[in-house]
Amino acid sequence: MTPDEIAAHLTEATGAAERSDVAHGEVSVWVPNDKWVEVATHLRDCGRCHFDLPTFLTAVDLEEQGFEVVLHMYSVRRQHHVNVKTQLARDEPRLPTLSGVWNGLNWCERETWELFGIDFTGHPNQVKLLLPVEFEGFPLRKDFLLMTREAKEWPGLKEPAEVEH
Amino acid sequence: MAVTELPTAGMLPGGPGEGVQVVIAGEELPTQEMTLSIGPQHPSTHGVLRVVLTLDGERIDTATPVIGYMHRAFDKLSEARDYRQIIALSNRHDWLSAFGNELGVALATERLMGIEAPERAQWIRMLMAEWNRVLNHLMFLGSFGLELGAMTPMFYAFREREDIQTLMEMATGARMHFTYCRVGGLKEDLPKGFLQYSEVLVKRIRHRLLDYEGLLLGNEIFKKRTVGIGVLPGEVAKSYGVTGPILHASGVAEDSRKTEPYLKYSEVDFEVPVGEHGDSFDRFNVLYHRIEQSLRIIEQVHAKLPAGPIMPGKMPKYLKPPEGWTYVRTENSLGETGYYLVSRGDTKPWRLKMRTPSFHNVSMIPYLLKGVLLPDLIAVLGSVFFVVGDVDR
Amino acid sequence: MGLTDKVNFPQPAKFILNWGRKYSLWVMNFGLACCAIELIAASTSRHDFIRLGVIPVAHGPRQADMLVVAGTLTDKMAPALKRVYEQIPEPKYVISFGSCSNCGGPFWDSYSVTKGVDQIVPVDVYVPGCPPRPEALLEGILLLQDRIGKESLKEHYQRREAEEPEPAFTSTVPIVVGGGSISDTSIRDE
Repeated sequence: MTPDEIAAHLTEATGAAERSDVAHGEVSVWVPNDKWVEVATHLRDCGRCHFDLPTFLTAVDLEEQGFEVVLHMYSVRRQHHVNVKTQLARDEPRLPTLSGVWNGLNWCERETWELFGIDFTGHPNQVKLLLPVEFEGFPLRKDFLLMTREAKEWPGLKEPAEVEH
Repeated sequence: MAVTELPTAGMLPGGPGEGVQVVIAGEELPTQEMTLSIGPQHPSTHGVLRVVLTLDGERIDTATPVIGYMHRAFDKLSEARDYRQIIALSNRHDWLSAFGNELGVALATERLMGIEAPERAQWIRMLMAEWNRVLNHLMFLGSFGLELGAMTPMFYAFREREDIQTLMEMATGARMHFTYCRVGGLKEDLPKGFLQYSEVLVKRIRHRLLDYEGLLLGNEIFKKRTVGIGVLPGEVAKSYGVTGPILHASGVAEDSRKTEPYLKYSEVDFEVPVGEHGDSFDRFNVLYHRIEQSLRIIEQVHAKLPAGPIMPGKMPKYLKPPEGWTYVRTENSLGETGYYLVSRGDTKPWRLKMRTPSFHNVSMIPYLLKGVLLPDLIAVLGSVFFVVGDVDR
Repeated sequence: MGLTDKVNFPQPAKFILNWGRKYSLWVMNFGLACCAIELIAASTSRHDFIRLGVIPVAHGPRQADMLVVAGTLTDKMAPALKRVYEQIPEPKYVISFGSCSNCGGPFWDSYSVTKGVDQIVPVDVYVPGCPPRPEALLEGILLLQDRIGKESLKEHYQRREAEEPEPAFTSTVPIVVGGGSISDTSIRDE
């Protein structure tokens, strides 16, 4: 299916798509939080979609607008992609887990939890994956600063033409 | 076989010509599971991966990989760096085939900015990507033999790798982290003598590949240790997000060079070797045949390389992709490497997520190692191709 | 350690003892990242550091004389390095190979990287590069051998005592680490 067809199909089949966008040949569909698992299950089971290879699941920190969780799926048989996105509020981001739908998202969700602080309810093993156990804070949030850069300005920050001699 | 399944009284084979008399008192002997932690430092080439096993005798009950010992925070660091600097940082992830990682970043930025690299640059990028694939696969051919006890393939692999690294050094100046790709094209054109040496190397490596076939693929011991061990069905592999040679060995021929050709892959002729059973032997076999196919592509690039510039005429002074997002995937040596780039019009990305194949390959280790005997653990782990920098980023 | 930490040997005996030690440095490969590949390349046929007496087939830290830390050291991995370092018997030497283990390297601003292995173990030779050429490792080994040839073991032990009177990992001290305890085997997946 072409990107526009995928968007149209998802809108009518699940009734959950808030909006969709096609850019650079790729389609993004935004769904509300409570329809997250329903849409994912549809993507897996529907014969026309047939999405079976989870590519990634991650989040983007959109400062005032909260977090945006992005799930990218690929279908080996139909050879098409889809991005499914959802918005989360900043203060207590929470989303149901998709590790029951595709196995590969188990680790992706663990990583997103530890780096962003988004709680995936129902996840079988939500413990730290990449960071040491005693690490505090959620590193990929925009308010987590890289202290080495804060302590001292890196000398190469300016282009050579801009440096005043 | 658990201790409880042993015959209650009888002869077990002991030394040559002898037997050991076993009398077990009581119906059920209570056994306890043992926890064995392998790693993170171990004398193999895997790198810092730790696997925590619970064993019932010699059979593995559960296997939990513990990763994160090489987490260097690429995602966060790339938010503090210019696009040109990110290329230099990205090639340190799959360090055996560094050019593939750089290529993804350059392609993602180019797609957002709407730039297309000139013809010659695309052909040369393809040439470099395929030589990197050969580099990567040679390493795994050598290390898999080393883990099963054969030392010679390691030395052979490094002999080939040294030759190819000399070739890469002629063009890029580095033996491992090339930083040759630029947004829009390449750093500089190929030097004089590069293509001649490249042709010589193709013939040499093709001839020397027969050594590996003779040493390992036809070897009785190798086959006994790898055939039927660590079977991964295609459907399970897909649901874990596994891509690359491991997925091909399980019977699924998903290769982005064929399904969504980037660079000039639609203009060269090559096959995607696919395995039947999805066991360790198939994974190794697929890797071996992929090298041959990569050499085929390299020869075709030699024949078809056009003349021309390698950077587009007018490149902006600062690289500022317009606001938007994109996902670009390339078929790197170990699988699908992709970059999800969100830009807000600045010289630095707002979010750059690196999707690596090794992360998903390692995530299916708990499934693969269930019920495997401890000595077969080496054969299975060695056949799951991953690079720890790719897993942890 | 017998006499070696109390007595300064006279020159001919010292020369021979040091000569024996410097040309039989068994190395414990602590290859972590990309530099590990160049370390292995330095041990294979073309560059071959085995001809210098450095044999990479140490069956564990107990039989090694030298530790080569190659690659990025993260905070999670640091306790493992410390533990392996302490298991190597004296006299021992450390070569820090590559810019990540020298000072953090290209990941100098990361939140999870230890900026330099010398925060964890005392380093004798720093080999710069990203990754350094195998020839650079050969030069580093030669420099270390020169140093061993001239050193007096008494001073070596005194220096070690001054740096660190007691190892961090003993059998009675519980392992509380900033990296997910090495001995924590209660981790399960699913």
